[in-house]
Amino acid sequence: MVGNARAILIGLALVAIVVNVLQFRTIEQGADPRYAALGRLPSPLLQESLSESQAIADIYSLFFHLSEVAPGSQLHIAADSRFPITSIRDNALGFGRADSVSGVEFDETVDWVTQDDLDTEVDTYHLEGSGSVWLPHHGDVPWQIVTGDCSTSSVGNDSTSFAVFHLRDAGDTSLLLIETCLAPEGMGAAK
Amino acid sequence: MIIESLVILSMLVGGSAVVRVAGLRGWGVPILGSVAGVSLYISIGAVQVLSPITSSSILTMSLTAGIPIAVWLWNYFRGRDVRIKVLPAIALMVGVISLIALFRAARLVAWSSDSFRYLLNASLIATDNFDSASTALIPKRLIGVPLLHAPSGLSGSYYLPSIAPLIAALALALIAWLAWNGLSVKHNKWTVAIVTTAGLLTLATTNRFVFHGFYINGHLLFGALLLAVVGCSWIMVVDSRVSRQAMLLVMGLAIVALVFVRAETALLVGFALLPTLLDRRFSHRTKAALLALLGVPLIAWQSFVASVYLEEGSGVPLSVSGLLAAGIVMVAGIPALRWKGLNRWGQQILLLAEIGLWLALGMLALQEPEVLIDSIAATTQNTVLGAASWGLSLIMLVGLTVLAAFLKVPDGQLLRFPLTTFVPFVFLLAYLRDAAYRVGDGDSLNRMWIQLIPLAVLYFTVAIGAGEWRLKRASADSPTDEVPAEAR
Repeated sequence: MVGNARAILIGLALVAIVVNVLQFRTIEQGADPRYAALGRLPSPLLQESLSESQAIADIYSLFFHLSEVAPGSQLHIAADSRFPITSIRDNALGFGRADSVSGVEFDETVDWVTQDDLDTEVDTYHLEGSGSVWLPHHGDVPWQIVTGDCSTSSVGNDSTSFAVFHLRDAGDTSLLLIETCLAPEGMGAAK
Repeated sequence: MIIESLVILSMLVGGSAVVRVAGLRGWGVPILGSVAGVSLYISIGAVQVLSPITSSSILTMSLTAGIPIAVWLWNYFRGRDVRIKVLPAIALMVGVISLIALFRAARLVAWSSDSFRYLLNASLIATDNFDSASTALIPKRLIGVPLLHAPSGLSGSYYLPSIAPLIAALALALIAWLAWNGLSVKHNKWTVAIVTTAGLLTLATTNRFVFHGFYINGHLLFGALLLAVVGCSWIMVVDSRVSRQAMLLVMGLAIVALVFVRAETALLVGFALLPTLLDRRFSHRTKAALLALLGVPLIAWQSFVASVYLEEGSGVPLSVSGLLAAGIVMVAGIPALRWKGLNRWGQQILLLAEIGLWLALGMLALQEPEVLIDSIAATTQNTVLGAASWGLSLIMLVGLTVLAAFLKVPDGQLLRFPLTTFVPFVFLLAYLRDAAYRVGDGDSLNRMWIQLIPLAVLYFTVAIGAGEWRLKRASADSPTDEVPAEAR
């Protein structure tokens, strides 16, 4: 009775194949676009698909942006930073294409700066980008990348160096990545 | 495109060279060779990551292709028959490059938050910064999948679009090769061809298989490598024509690579290997080598993970120290493989292991029933009631596998044991991670099914091919499709 068992099982397998084919389109239409079997990226660049998930974009868009405006940069973060250094380091060295992320000793009194400090103490600067980043234990935090016409470094140069500060305005905390040559007086430890 | 082609070809050529030297012939060379190549690539990359040398993908590619080619040339000039058919080899490489171009142009990619974590690890490897990676990334995402995507950094990208679909194609090809060789020992080629095609189509038309074929994650890679480990063990037993040396080589390389693909590898692969370790047809030396190839890389990897926790100033979690202990127990247990009782009581030990898993699950469920109840409820929603894109596929695959268990499968226990232990194992995992499974496409278990499905498909394909109910008496067999031993 070899034939019987085989015929029954092949018949069932054929039923499974037909059902699979018939239900394929329905499953695709009902699935989250990111979990569709035949989901197509809007462009070959993976980072451009982030618009499909705000939650994931909030985690990584700052760092993809950093990789575009200053690949190979060096980040200096206050060693006692209240922002999670390990998370920033993982993302900056990975997707941010940063060359190094180091903890430096900042003067406690200038660890926090305000937008006014920035406007009054820095003559000219360029806002290279801003947005919101999700950080562990902090949730969504606004960010800014600020550069200037520094003699020793420029945007796009591999040696672009940033100090990472807490920018505080009206009680809200932001993450400020400011090119170290622009850092206000007293923040020289990062230079 | 050039970098991507070089990466894939380094694995195909390097792996094929090494299995050819090990004695494999025919169309199994590129298939088993690709499994060996992927595994070799991950293993070499792991050595780079765990040692002070650079994690450069150029070095990984060079060694993956270079070492096997050197070994092949050495054997060739010593007069050994390791020749390959040049025209089919060139045609295959052209075909693979065409597929890479096709997949790149298609831009079919599935991704989730996990995908980005894998690719973040890949970026850290690509930029030689993996020693800075934190415990938020290392223990869960490991380095197997990241190593495969890391070469994308050489061209300023973050992923290689053809890796996932080519692994899916490899899983299908591996099922085809194993089923064909396993069944053609006793059955005529038309029967084998029809049955194998039915099995492959059942898998290839499954929506979630296609999804995993484009998903940036490690589930299907795990599934393909586990299939290689179990399938090579099985084919060695049922088909004396295949090169044992080549099968053991593929098994060994795949076991090492698996350690770096998923955190649960140690336990899942440990259980999958148990029937082989208890089978008297495998020598003590083979068993010892297989167990060592699982235990030693496990110790190396978990020690590395533990050191990262200690560097961060935090305690080493039980999930890491437990797996480290498991690796040590495996290596320390190698001398015990000489105990003759293992062969004599093999069946009973397998039964006890399976009962033990269910008992452990039962005890945990008594202590904390919510985790199991919620997990079963969510899994029912996901797999039966259509909450996670399976449609009726998983029910049908499980149904075919259960029916296949009523058929005589030659040495089927080697294939069946990893399948039956998977169910209690995954629900135990829910307790180990201290969280129930949840409803939706992104649920862990919902995605983990694909780790076992290629093996399940091989199992029921072989069962259909054998085509004999277990309860039928041997004398009732129809000899119509039997191939005489002389004609093999």
